[in-house]
Amino acid sequence: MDTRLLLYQTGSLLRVRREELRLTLAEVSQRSGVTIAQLSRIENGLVDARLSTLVRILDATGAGLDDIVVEPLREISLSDALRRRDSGRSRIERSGVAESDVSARLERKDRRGSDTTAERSRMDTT
Amino acid sequence: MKQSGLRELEAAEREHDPMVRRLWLVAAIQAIVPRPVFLVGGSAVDLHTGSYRPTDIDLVGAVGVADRVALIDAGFVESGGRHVKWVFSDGSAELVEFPESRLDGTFERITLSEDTAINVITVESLIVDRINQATDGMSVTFDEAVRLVIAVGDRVDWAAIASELAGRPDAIYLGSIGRARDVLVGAEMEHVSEAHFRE
Repeated sequence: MDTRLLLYQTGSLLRVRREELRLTLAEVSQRSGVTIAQLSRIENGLVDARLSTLVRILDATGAGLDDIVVEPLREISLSDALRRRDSGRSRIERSGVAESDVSARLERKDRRGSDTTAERSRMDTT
Repeated sequence: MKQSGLRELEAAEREHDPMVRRLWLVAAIQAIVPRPVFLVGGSAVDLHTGSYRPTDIDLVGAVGVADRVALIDAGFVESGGRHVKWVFSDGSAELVEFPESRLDGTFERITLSEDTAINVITVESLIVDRINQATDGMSVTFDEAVRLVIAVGDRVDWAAIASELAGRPDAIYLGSIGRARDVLVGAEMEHVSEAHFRE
């Protein structure tokens, strides 16, 4: 079990719960007595909160420990990922659609204000 | 003490498939950065289409200044803007960008070896992202969304995609559902549009 990932997933569930209720961090902070900064760190999976702190946050959003049970992750092997990729590539080739247009993608990024100098330089050398 | 990420960087160095090489580079970054990072963007699209030619590796996660310093210490180099670069011994390079601190959507794990796995945005969340991008009215984003749907459209959870798309706060403003219908027509998958994105 990857603890970092577990903290991230638990924090995400707390954030989703809060957002579903349209509560701000300040409102949950007021209800739970947990500071806004600490709430933010917990929601982003940056700290390993004590169980008592989690329970206070859950109480503040009308939730229980059942609501932060992390679902098992979908895991695939590299070989399956490669098979998936090859299958996707074959489908695209059979469909006859045009190739991905790298220049157009970079122009779009330019228009949106991104600095694409490094990407253009890299693409020129590959 | 052995340097964090060294084993993964060595694996990337040995790899000839550009996509797998990128995955090992992500694994190296994950070994160096203390919090989870998630592969998104064009490199994630390439995992499903094999023909995208990504210009960089987009990773989302809470990557701070200290993490960037750790990456530089491990051998990455600053490359202007938000990118850091890894240069392989054959002279080829990969750019890495950290565009966001939080993953918008769900993720899966790809196992690279017995003790190494990386986090990658699920194809369902990737389709949501590409359809939302395609609401900008440009042909390039529309074409990319169509290509992705052609590649994976028959093996994804369209109910989950429809739900995720409709649940985004900006769905109505962007016209995401209408664009999803357009993309599905472009991919000749009208039956999915009828089943999940009816007006």
